[in-house]
Amino acid sequence: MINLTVDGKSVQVERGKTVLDACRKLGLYIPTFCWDDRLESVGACRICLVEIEKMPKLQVACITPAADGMVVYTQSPQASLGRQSIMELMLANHPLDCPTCDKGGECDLQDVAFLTRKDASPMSEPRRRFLTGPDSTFDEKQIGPLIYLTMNRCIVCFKCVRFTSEVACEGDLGAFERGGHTQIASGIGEAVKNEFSGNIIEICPVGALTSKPFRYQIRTWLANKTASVCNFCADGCNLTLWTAKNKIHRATSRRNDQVDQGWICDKGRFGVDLVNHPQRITSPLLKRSGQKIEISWDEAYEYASKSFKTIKERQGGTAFAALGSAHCSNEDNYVLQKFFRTVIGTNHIDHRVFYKNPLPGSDSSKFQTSYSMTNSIQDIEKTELIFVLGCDLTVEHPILGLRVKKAVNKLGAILVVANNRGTKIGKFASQEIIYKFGSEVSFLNALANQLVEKGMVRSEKVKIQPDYENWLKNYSLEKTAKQCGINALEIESLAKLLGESKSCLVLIGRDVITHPYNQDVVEAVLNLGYLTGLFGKKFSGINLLWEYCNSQGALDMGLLPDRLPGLIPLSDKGYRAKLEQAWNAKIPDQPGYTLKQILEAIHRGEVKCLYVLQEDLINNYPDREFVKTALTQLELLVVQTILPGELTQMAHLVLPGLSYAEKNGTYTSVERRVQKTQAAFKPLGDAKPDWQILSELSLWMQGPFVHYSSQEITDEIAALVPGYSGMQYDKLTFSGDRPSLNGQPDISEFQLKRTEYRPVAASDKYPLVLLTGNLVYHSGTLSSWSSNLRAVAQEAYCQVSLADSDKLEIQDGDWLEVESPQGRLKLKAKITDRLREGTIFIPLNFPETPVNSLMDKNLLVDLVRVSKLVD
Amino acid sequence: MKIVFKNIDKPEQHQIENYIKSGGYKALPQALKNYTPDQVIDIVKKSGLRGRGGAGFPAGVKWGFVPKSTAKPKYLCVNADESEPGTFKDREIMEKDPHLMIEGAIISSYAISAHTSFIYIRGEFTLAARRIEQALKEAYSKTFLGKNILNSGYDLEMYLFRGAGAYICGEETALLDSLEGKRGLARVKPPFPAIEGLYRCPTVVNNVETLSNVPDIILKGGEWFASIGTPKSTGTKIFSLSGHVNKPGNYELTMGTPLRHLIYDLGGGIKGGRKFKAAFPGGPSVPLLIEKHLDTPLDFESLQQAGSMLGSGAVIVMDETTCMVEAARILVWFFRHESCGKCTPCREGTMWLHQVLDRIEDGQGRTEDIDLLLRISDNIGGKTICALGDAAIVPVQSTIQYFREEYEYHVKNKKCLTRTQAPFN
Repeated sequence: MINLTVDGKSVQVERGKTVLDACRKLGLYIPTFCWDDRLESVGACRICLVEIEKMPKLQVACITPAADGMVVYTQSPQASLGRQSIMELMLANHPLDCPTCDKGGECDLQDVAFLTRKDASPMSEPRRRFLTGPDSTFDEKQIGPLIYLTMNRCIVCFKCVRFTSEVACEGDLGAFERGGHTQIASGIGEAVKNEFSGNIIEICPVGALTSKPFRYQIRTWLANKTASVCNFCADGCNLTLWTAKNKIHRATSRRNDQVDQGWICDKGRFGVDLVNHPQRITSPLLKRSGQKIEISWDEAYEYASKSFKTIKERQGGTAFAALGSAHCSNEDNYVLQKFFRTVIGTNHIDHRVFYKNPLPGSDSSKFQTSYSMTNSIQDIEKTELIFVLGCDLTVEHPILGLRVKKAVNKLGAILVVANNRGTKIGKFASQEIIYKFGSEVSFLNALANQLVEKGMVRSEKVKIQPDYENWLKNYSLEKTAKQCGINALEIESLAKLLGESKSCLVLIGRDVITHPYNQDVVEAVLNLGYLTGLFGKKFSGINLLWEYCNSQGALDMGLLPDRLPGLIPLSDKGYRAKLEQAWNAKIPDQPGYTLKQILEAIHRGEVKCLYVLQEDLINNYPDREFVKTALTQLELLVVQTILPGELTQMAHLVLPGLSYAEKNGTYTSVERRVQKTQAAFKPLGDAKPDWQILSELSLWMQGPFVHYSSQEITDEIAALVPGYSGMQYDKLTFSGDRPSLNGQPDISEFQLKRTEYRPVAASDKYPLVLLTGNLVYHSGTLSSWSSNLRAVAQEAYCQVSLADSDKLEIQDGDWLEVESPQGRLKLKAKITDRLREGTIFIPLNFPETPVNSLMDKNLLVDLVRVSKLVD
Repeated sequence: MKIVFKNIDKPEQHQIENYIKSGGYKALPQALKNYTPDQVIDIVKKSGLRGRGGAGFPAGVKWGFVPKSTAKPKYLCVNADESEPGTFKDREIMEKDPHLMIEGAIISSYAISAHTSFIYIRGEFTLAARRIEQALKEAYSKTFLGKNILNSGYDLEMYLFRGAGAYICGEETALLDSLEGKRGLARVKPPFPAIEGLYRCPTVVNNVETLSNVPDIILKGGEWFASIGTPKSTGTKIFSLSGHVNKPGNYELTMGTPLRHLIYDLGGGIKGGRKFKAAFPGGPSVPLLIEKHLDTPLDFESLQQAGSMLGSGAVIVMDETTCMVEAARILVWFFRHESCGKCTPCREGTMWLHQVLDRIEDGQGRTEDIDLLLRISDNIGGKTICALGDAAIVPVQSTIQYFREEYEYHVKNKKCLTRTQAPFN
């Protein structure tokens, strides 16, 4: 520890800290422009000059290391004069654009100018201009779909360039030229298009980088600020929403060092415009003679409750099914399953709209590891080996991707990435393995075999039965290398890494979740975790990463046919009794149907009523034809949602729910962090909070419960749901809380399972495997409603591997017809060297080119054929 | 007394056979076989050799800063980016006697236990680059470089790296950034390169001329070198004489030789027999000397006492026909053009200074401009990351200090005093 004195006060800091750290520890304000605690200090702007005894020149506090016995003066006449000199020079060429500059009110330069009493410069020469055209007046240039650069205002602090290269690890923004001609720009003819580009707007200390959607909207001091959480991916980045007059003008980061460290991706930042989309449903709608007419809430509740009563009396509760939402709050989902279990009397409850054979299956391992993230996000920075399996990490979880990049580039972690295609995160890995589609189980068993064979199982607590060991021998190096289509050395070296690492964090993503034998893959990974002694080790664990903002919460709230809240099995008599007592009602004890079974039951007339909460069923379910046909068989389709589509067109009753921005609620992120949000403005039109609609329906049906506020529900969840205890609404902070149990299996309880590899094959007629997933700029089909995000990624395409493009004689940009037994789509081709031969990739985010029209729920793998369209 | 230039005029001296014939590559085996690295550092410390690139920091002391117990590799960088206006001494060494520099660099690398070294040469020196590449090849072929040099067990790889036209890359930290493949921007010191330099590893950056003195120091001893020159400025220094003199060129002089001797005896005096007006004794980064300073000995201390500095030893002589305002303007333009742009004062200040000087020179000056120039200089001075900012204000401050009346004449009469008084003939 180092002792020094600043402005007469003594302070102690760790070795390696700077004078600025010491000042901040004392709570002193030193102006800075180019310094950011998340970036490497450069000492470029020179504004943080301080006087240090025994040093003849003024020193920059942000980069001068603190030394024992240093005596620092931050407000001495010399230091103040020094700062005024710098301000005079900085304002020499800075245009006084304040009246028309978006940054006014939150501009560091404005603030420091007033602080140093230097708000003007005696410079009277013509100011430097970076002209953007022969007749340009404002000299602004659009450097990305959503970002304007006004180079005249730039003070060359390099924060944007440093962020882009150090944190985002992208290369699309840089500095060119030298001296006074230094220009920040993207590459010639290129645009700034990485998914973190919005952060440069926030860290820019002046108005050089501004947001196109936010431009001239409102002055920052006139907007209301509320705390919120992003509604797209599961990472749970904290946002601040800036609203005025019922409109969200922008979202900025709300720094949470345990989650996002102040960096948010462009989806959360720019995708907020969908909340105020002109086509928002704001009133209940009833279908009458083929038309949708607006009705009052009373009429809507009367219609719904009467219809429910009729169907229930005729066929019983099991004629009903409900779909919850991975985008709605815990309160919404909790009340949904409570309503359908107690008031209606059915266990046909699900929410997993995107998946054919979703996890956790009915015979899933009892360990929580098989259906959640057990480590915290911060553990990523502390572990030695990061193993990313079946996950396009930077697309599915951009913020986790940033953590992994930091761990690899700055903290010495080793990264191994394995998937059925090349991914962006793979480029940071010391080893990237691209195996054949569907061969995960063989690959994982081969790794297990290597560990056992080569004596790399070190923990004495690990018991390997001899028959398991013998069975494992089937997965020999040569045989599995062939099955996986990779080099035997790749398996060997990865096994060595796994065996020797002191800590290892495994991240499992969408490609495993949607795997035809996903349960087997998870069991195989758990075996590997057991053999490497991962469970219980610090900063180690198996982590299944759910996709959407409240996917984890939806599971935890019991939106499953055979599980109660807390993922307790329905068969657990004790817990069921506890709930029945608390809810003052009976819960049906027969397990219900999963979504696939629900749709099949609708098809054959067993289920008559479906209630859908805020999920885009028709556009997202992996068999569009089947869903549409099934829905026409329904006697009653009630859709509670915020935006229209084919689903609301088909519905008999549409109830207007709320977006995340209009209601208070809690959401459980991918690392099981429960975070609460504030309503940014009053509900639009007649829309109501989703939990309130169900609660009022319960009243209309003489149900056993009613809720008056969402806080009440949060408190009930805290009281009743395992894993949520202690998370009462008032106890939760705005940076969220994680449960203390990490959910990893107890080594002594674990049993190795013999999961056999089952290959999946293509056919001659349909030789290509269809892969799908999100684009990094989009999330499900919800984001396609955001015109901002559409400006970045407008339409779908078909990615074709280099080898296949040669075979089919396709060039980049050609129009293709992609055909499966179910349907066909016309898409533009994008050739890539990151796909394996025999696979194609189509993003699922664009309802106008629905990839699910090619899919069949009965097929384990969707196969297609591709041909070039000739005009 | 010639140390560096003793063989400079021998024909084909750049070829290794001739270098060896004239006594070359004798210091290297002596250093490797008879001295440990620490002993080499001691010898150089005793010699009092100070950096010849401009800063004048004692070379042996700098080498001593390199941490001994570290797992990081150490590097030696030869700063051959000679860009200080008026300096052309390293060019002559590299074109005519490159092996002298190379031998000095190998011994210096040995002293700091570096196994990789780089020669960062200014991009514009095409002939010198060719000659050095050829010389390196020759040195490798005779096992003066590479693995197990002269069977001593010491390995050293030496690479030539060509710059791309930036004066700032002569500044050691910007040089290191450029060597790493980044834009050549100066870094804040501390940390100093000897602790954290190239790729964050201990690095020593030395000037070509500094290293070219090392072979003789090894052969003849530190005390011998210290006996030449003055007690605090030992040895010799090559002065690049240019400007209004009859015989411009490189002259190696014993430290302490008076300026008058260089200009009038060796340099043949002022061209056309005109009057001496002013001179930069160490390039435009150091304050001017005027007529009363002509007898100042050329060494670090004496020049500092005269209000100037030795710098790189580029003596730029200006006679009575030189307008000092125009001189300042051209030099400030140079610094403005070469500023890396990283720190605010240099980036904005040099531009502003140049704009004001332009106006004065073009007859649009205002009375407050002279004080404005001094004010801007004060704003810049002492607040920049590297010395370029401090150097940029020197022509302004120095010319105003000694020739303020020229500025005032420009402002008041909207024309040049010098042109009026002493037109070209």
